[in-house]
Amino acid sequence: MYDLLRRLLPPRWADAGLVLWYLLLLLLVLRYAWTPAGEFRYGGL
Amino acid sequence: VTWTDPVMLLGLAGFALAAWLPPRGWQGAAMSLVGLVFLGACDPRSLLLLGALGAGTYALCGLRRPGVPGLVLTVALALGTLAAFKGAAPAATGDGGGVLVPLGLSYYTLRMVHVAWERYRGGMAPLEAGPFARYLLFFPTLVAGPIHRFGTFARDDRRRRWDAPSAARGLERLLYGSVKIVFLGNYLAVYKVGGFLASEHGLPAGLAALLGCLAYGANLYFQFAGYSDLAVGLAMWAGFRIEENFRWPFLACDLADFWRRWHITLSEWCRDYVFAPVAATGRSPYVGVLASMLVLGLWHEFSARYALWGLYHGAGIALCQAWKRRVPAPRTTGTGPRLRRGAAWLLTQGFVVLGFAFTRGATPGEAFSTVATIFGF
Repeated sequence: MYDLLRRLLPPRWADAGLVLWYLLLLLLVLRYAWTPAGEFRYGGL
Repeated sequence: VTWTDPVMLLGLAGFALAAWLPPRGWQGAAMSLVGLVFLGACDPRSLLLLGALGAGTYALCGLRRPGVPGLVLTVALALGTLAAFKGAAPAATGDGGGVLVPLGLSYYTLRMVHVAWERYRGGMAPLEAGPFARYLLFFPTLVAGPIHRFGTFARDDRRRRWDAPSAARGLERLLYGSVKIVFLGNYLAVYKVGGFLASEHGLPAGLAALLGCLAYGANLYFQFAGYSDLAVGLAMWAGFRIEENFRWPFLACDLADFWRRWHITLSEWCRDYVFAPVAATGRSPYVGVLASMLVLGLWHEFSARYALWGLYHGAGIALCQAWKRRVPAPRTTGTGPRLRRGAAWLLTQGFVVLGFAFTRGATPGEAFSTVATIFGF
């Protein structure tokens, strides 16, 4: 992701963009972590 | 055990600390201890089985290079145990009873067969007990793979050192894996699309059946690729590079390519330890493909629907290979190849999505009725 941002933005903006990207993903995970888990039967779990 | 279970989160945090916090000489033992405590807490039967089968593999193949009897005995012990539990699992008995497959058994038995086979072939040096125990108890791959190989693990086990960029990439993979499991798999594929299809949606029956297969396949992919990302990321944090399990499978333009992109480590295991010996013995690659895909199907579950699913893919790959042998390679420039590539992609992905009908339905009959609904019969 950082490579893509560096291609599109100046370095400082790319750094900020990466932080925002991680924050967005983290928020998505925290927001939806309590959705009931889907069926997943792949040998182990 | 799912991603958000406290025991899994504790295991993740414990492993991340055990990898670097203790003195250098104790880190390997600390990481194994996390795997041991995690397995003991989740499923003590599995820990006992791992200990017994691991000790058996080490005794038969570890120090001395095994002959045919040693190899056969080790493989029979590992796969016999796996087959016994898979055969007694609720999904196989079909009566609602049965015994749950011990946690991680499907993965560590295949690792033991890999070690035994490589020792037999002479492609692996005598085993040291420490690295072998660490390999079997490696927490990131313990419950959902990938089925990583001993050679690369042992090399990283010797050479690993703290590397900040690699650790950062590992954390990034952990985040991507979590998004795949939680948001794309559980929320979008199951909760949103699955919820929509379960409601009064008013869509034609064929389209709804096709969307159901698509959502099922997407959930399977996001969940499993997510867990694989967690394993690769956590291993990367700890200084290990383990094999990737997925590489954009929905971009594949032929079935063989699909299986080089989907559950890669299981496909490679089947290629090395089922396809190669069967094809060499039977002198037919087609028999080898069918045998390895049947084993791959039954590995998931001992049932008619998974056997059919495996044979369905095996027949598809065999047809693809036969086609490639008979039809000369097409030109690679101009509009024609692009169109041909698009058609090949559509055919391949259509074949894969239809295949999900087999594993989605409870019985083969249900699967055939889903396929019939999709085609409007």
